[in-house]
Amino acid sequence: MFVYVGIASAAPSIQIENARTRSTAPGQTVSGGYMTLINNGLTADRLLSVSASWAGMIEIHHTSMDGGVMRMREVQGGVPIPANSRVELKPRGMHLMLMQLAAPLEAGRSMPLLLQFEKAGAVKVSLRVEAVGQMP
Amino acid sequence: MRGIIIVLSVIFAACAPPPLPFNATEVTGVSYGTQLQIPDTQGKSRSLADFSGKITVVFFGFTSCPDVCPSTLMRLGQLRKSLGADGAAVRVILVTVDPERDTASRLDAYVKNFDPSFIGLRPEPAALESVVKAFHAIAVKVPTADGTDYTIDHSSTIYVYDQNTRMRLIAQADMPIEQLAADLRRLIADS
Ligand SMILES: [Cu+2]
Repeated sequence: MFVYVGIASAAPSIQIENARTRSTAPGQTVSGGYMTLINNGLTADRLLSVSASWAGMIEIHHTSMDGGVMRMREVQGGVPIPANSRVELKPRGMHLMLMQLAAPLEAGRSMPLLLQFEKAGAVKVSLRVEAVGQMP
Repeated sequence: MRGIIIVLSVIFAACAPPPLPFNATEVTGVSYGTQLQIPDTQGKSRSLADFSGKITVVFFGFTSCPDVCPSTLMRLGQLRKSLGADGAAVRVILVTVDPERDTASRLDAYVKNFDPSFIGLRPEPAALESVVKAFHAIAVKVPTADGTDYTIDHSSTIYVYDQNTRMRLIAQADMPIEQLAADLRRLIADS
């Protein structure tokens, strides 16, 4: 009984892997953020929003390529992460739209990011900056 | 004697197997964009004819495009590398669909970050619509959720011209690079 209550009331544990972005050239004000969101918990969670001091605005987008046309749209209502599952933010799929960059992102650096989840609350992540020619 | 040789070669040609199709869509005879003049990042007006002698690869994008554009440009850089010595025969051109925000210097830094040989072309804002139309492409501004910024829906097609600046192939942006490289090798060998 104690065990049952313990599991049921535990906050879903969210883990983030392979958080990365591309380096930017001088003058470029937008980059894409990617990562794997892992929910080890028994309860579904949801990524609601993302923020950083070095980006004026961050949206969660989805890319589509229908009919040879590239479109990006904001993901409405955040990103659902079912219990016991992994969700990929990846190139040409869902991504973080890191906008209004205060300064160019330099390859090799790590940038702090704050993810806000519905259940897990705030989760800090370090975003690895990869050279633009290296990352697909 | 000459007559016999001609007859023989006609018969030989008739017996040769038809060439395999390209991986990309072959569009020989179509001439999108060949009449255009678009300024480069030095302000010099360029036409496709300026790039004759090279295989020219044209792609639309903009520097505030964080996902498909960098992914495609990186892959086109890989394409040049995968062709080895033939890579020098390939010229990659990005035409910006966001000339209002993409200043010449910003566009230049952006493309050269992927490959120093890449060229950025920047239509005047008033000329953008006609440039896009000449490629039967689209570019449509879409405001972001809070309305303070915008992104641009745009054609992600890759247009390939041969060394005589004839349009030859149209490829989708997500075509595997090895397939596109095989096509370009054939175009290089054909000339
Ligand atoms: Cu986006």
